[in-house]
Amino acid sequence: MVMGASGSGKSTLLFLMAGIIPDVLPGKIEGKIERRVKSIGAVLQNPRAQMIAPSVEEEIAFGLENRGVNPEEIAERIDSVLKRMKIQELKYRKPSELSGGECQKVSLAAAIALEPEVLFLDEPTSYLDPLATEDFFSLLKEIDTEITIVMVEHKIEYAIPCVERYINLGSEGTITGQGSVSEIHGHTWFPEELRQKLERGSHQKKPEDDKLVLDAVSLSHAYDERVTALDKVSLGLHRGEILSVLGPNGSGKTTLLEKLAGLLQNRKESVFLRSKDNCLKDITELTPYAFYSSLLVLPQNPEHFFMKDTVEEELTVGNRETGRRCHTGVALFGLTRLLKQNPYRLSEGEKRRLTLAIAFQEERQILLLDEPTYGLDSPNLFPLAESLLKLKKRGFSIVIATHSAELAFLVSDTIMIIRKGKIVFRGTGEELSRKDEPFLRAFLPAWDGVNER
Amino acid sequence: MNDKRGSLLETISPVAILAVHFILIIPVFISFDYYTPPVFFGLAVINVFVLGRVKIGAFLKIVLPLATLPVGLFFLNLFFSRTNQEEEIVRFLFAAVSRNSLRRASIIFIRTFTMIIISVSYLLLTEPQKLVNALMQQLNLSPRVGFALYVAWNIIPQFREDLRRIENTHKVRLKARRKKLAEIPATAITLLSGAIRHAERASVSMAARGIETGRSRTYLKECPWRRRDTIYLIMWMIVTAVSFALITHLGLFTFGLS
Repeated sequence: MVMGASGSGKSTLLFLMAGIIPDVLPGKIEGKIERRVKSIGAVLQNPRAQMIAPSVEEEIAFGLENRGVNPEEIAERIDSVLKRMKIQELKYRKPSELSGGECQKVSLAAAIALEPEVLFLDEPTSYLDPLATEDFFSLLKEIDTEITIVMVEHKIEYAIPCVERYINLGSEGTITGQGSVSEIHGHTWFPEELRQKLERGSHQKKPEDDKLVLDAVSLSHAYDERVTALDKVSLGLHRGEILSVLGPNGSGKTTLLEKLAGLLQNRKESVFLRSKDNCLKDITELTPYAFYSSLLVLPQNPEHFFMKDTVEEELTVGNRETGRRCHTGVALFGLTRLLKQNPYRLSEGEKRRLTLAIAFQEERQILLLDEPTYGLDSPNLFPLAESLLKLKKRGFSIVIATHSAELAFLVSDTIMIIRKGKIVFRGTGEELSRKDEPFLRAFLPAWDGVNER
Repeated sequence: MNDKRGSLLETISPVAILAVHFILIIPVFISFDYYTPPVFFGLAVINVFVLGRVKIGAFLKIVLPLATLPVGLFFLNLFFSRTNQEEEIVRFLFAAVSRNSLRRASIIFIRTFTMIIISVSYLLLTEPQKLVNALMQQLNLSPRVGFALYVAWNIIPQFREDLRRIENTHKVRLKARRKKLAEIPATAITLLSGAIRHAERASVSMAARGIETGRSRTYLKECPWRRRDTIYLIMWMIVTAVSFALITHLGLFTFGLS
């Protein structure tokens, strides 16, 4: 396992070992690489971007076809690998119909079908929810022991059962540590000191007038007759409260946010918002301007939020006033030196902080965050958590739909877990830790140790 | 969309079907008379409904919205193509119609409508993935290009979803006000940058699985050019040639590209 912070060169090392650099991606190489293997397989980070062919069957066949394997043998290998990975039912499915977890399983199947001597995995679970991540690693543990696996992974706690040796890369791109996996048992990307500091922050007293600012009653939604995305979900959000919504992919988290934001049609159900005259009003009675003046949606991909060429311009889109509040926001979220930068050129963590700075500057008191850890590695979780706690301290109410149990535990007052559109848990992190059900325990943070789940 | 179970065209190469439609559309494209387009319209209909067993409902579902184009062209030419020298036969408010403008409008309508029919027939007779597969195997289209087309095809649903999310996010951010002109390109830029990144990743994924190894590639779904494809193609070449010769011999054909 290759470990290290973002930008330390983990993927570059993996690509060099796999021959992707310089064969596919250019670069100046010093030193010597000797590859003594005839066959390799690779699974990359983004599950959807790896899907090339029109069906799962052809996706697995792709590498074999490139090697000139005859069609009868390709068909045999496809059936065999699908059976081995227990995903026969996916054989004729289109890639666009698969979940992220299923895509990664298909990518792994495609790599294994090549009968590789070495399998290279570049953060294969970074886009997966905790359940899909566990599933992926248990599958990996079961595959042929003859195959050597080199993997870049941040989710150390999940990966450890599959690992024998590790390499740690420092920020300069040099090896700062390596050895047997026993040496990293108990190691986590979540420094205890920082974690405790943040947890203290999350337990800070809520503002005194902790009135209900958003009240949703019996929200339901179905995209078509067969699939109910949300089933009678009710929730209340108080001033200065952070509510995290956890759940597997496709459980209805994003749908819930879109319902709260009035972006999906409401029928029998209602969403009430505390208006300026301090009364809870049905959002259908408010003008869109009045409603959205109090609420902001921060999307999974922060780039979807941007509209301007510089950070400074982004901060003034909704508000011509560039005075003190803007500067406070910029300083609060550590963006002072980035004002003239193009927002698209910021790092993932900076992009996320910029969206929060905009929310702060525009004083939208209710924030709905969709997967705010998307594209962020674990060390970058802490600056994000700190930023959210700063907003909470200033009375902002936040709903976070996330895969990251770590973020939820660091910042939330309330955690809600939904499954197939229904709430299956609502309570504090502490209450969740006391639950025995395996499904709920999958949403405990990694620092509690995967084996303890 | 089409019920090709047991249809003759199910077993024919998509490249051959493409060639036939190309052959059918050429005479329509170069003609400017009342007779040539209906003849090839009829031939296309035989191909799509008799040989291809396409359901008429599915066919009309695509053709009817597209039919607004020839209808629009008809009225445009009817009311606005008359020259001062041409005699007016009828007037609708401000627009005068001459015998010539009526003829021009009718021919353009028939011709455009026939071209739409032939194009839609092809769309309904071939799945894009099968066409790309056939192009790679029969016309040596580079697999890199072929699979890039598959990637583009796969990305469409994602692209649609991204567009929806961007529009929703901007709507909330702008408090439901209309975008200013200068704010509109942001959507395109975001979509484009996402598409470029997706393409880069797909390219690495393809290369990591050896698309450029240079070894002779095999295909799980083999699609060789067969004798029946040749027969199908030749048959339609003959039918087209005979029909065209007949129309010309009877003096019904008028050349025109306008």
